[in-house]
Amino acid sequence: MKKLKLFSILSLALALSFTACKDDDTEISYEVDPNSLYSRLGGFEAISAVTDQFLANVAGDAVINARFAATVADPFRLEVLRNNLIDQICEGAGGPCKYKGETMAEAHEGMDITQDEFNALVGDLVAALDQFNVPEQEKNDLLAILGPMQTDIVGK
Amino acid sequence: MQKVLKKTTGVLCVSFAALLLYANLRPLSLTEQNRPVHLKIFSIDEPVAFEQAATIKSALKIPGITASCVNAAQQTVSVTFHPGQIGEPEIVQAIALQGKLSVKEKYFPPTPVCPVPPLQAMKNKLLKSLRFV
Ligand code: HEM
Repeated sequence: MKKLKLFSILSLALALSFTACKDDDTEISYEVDPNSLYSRLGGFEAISAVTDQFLANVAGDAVINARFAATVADPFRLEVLRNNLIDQICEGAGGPCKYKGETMAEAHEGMDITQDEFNALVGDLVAALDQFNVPEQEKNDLLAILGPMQTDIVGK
Repeated sequence: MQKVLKKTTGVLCVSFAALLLYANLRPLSLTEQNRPVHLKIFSIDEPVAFEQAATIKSALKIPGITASCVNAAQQTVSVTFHPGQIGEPEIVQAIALQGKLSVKEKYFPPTPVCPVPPLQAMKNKLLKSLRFV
């Protein structure tokens, strides 16, 4: 009985110490600026919908889809990529999300991605934004956030 | 020896219980609360005309499908969908335009990508399997 009690206390303490840690899963909570790109894009639901269309476009793009064969084949791997992309766009646009993935240099290291492949992927993103009739201004604002990542992605 | 074994078992039990509690108590982020999707790529056996591609795209506007892309030139259709809401046979049926086209899942030849799933995917898999809801 005494052992059971000790066991329960210990596990609870351990679990609480895990959850109490300000780990990278914790959302940063702040008021979202109504003029932020996040709000102008339509918020979380809209970003999630655009990301799904972007992934579908990438999967249908013969220039780059073979790169994502392992990701498409594993739903958990796909979920990580999808969630990381949503968080990356959401946080970059000033939304209440936190990107928890690797840096772009780490994530693409050793892939030797070409400029053509990078352009193809950006084209797939633009096509997704166009499908949702995202205005030119918002499209350019988002591309301005993602564009500079090129140096960490191409030729690494 | 038995003492060590007992202690090790105790430590393992406490760790497992802690992990179980952590998996169920930790706050989920917005993206983690988002319903997951699967992504499948299908290939169509015959050439796809431009109008046919548009018809397939419209046929895929059904509940459970979150996005689709019809590539007429490559004869492929990629679809993201909620697996709990719609199954692959229904998607194949929609792409096939009720039996007019022959559709199958597309498999890629092995490519030089890292076969090891990233750590984050493995962690998510473990935590999800321990969640009660
Ligand atoms: C602005 C352009 C790009 C952005 C914002 C981007 C973003 C990302 C993100 C957020 C991840 C996940 C990192 C993680 O899991 O920690 C990732 C992984 C990956 N990216 Fe990119 N990426 C870009 C360009 C590209 C290009 C051009 C390619 C190849 C054609 C590519 C191929 C990949 C692959 C194969 C993975 C690994 C997926 C997996 O492990 O399942 N990326 N990228």
